[in-house]
Amino acid sequence: MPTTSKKTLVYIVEDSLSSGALYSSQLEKAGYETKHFVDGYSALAAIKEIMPSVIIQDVCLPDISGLNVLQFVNRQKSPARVIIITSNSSIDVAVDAMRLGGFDFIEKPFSRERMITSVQDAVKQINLESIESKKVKTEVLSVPEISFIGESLAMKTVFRLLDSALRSKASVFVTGESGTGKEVCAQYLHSFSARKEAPLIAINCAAIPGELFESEFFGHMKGSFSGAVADRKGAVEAANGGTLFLDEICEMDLNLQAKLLRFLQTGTFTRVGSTNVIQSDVRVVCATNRHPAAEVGEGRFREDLYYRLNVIPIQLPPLRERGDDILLLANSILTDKNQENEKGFGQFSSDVQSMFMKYDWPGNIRELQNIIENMVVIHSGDEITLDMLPENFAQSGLNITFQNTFSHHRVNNHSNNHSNSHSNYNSNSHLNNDAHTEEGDHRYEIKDIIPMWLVEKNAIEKAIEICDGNIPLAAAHLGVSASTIYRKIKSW
Amino acid sequence: MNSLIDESVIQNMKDDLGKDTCHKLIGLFIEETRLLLVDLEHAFEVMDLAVIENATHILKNSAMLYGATSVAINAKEINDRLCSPRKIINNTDKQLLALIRTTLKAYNSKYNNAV
Repeated sequence: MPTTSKKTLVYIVEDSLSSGALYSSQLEKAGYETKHFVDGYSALAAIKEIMPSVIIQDVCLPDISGLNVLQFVNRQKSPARVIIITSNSSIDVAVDAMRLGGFDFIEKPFSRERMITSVQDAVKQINLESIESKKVKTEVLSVPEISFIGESLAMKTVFRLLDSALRSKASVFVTGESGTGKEVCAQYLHSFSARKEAPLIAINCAAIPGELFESEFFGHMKGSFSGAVADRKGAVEAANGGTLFLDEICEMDLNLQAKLLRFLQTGTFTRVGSTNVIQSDVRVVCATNRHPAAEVGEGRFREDLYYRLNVIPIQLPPLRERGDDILLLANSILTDKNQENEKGFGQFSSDVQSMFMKYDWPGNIRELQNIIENMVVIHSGDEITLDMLPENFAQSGLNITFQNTFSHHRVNNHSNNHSNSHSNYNSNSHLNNDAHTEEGDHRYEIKDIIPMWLVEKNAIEKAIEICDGNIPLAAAHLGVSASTIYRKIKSW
Repeated sequence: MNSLIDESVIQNMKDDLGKDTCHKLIGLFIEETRLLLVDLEHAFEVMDLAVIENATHILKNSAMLYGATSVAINAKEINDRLCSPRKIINNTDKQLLALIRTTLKAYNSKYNNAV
């Protein structure tokens, strides 16, 4: 990163003379060298001549958009880290800016601390990347074993977004059905970023009781509440320099959402029972299997927090929409499970492959993993065949394609009683696919359609019953998390 | 008159950057605001909404940074309306001009060494 002196060079592109001068003074006091430009073209000319380490870039300029400057910077060989500064009304533009590779964005007016923390983070990232690039290539290649498998168009889009997010500190909001790999996204974003040496702290917002959440999040001081027997760091503090993964973010209490928003705006927080303000530099990745915009509409999720977190939205596709990725994943999982269990399965039979491609995979990759692990653990041989499929896989095969395929190979061998015992599922599965499917003498009509939530409720209740009331076990077989089940039960 | 200036903002600036730098910066703020006032006076006469939008866009941030909170709030309120698709401007928006004049007077009186 070229600089003209030993001090780190920061450009400030801000059309207000007095505001820019104030930022310059604050940064110079903190040890940086600065240059202030009041329009975009002057900044571009200076950037061409000397690329600074960091640019504090206003979006609204009198001549060109700050986004044009950002795009220009990111096309250069050693681009500066660009911190976008914006007023509330241009938050959408800021979101676009982050997608174009902005490092951070700060809403105006902002505090001195917020600006300096962001510049420090940017410089830290540059230094780390510089150290990393000097290491031998083999080390880089062997870093984490976290990798995504997929060649579908939907996954290629996901990979592109993830890779562009690696260089940035911007918040990432991962959405997708349960079991699609949201946590893997967070691990990937952490492990391949300059923050990888610092911790990745994951919090499941649905699993922590409301009254303990603030303490878990921000930490507490000894004696601040009954049970606080010692000072304790919270997740935000523990993740300093690293990544904070907030799973099931939509389950967070509204009161805490306000506190999280404040932390995201200022980069500071206080432990429960303390007045000391602590700074923490974290990159936030959050995830939900709900539709966050709908949650905002329903008033369960703060709109301002949503926009703050949804800087880089990543939508993970369900497994059923990933085409040939299903078999790629299945083969990869089979290899892993073979190694773990010292088995020698070489492949799936063509029938199993065909069934995998037709099945709906409501539990997504987690369900696929569970089913393959089940077969590998229980059976031995060279090939995974239809008769090795777990019984619960057959029972939860809720869609017609699966039922048809399965009936050719297996159901004929079962007793009529067995078929009848799952009539509820069978009728649902037919109806989900065709409202006018004929079976025997009965012709299904619109009135026979069972609402999706009821189908889901039946499936969950049946699973819990089969597992003798053991919800975590039922959840495992259904391929979802126990907290999802608890939440569903609460909503009925 | 002092209610026009948030003294805690100025004090923080002095503590952080020193008295001299602080006065120099306030001088810049006064000069910039004076120029924006000239632009706004003309813009309100001819109802040039683009100029009003640009000037209030700058003021809502700079005034907040320098403790001129009333000006910042008023400018933001007008700017938010002008940024909306309907671009609403009210007759009472002209009151911003008087508020800026009074505020500048207060800054000049208190920090006259700076100008």
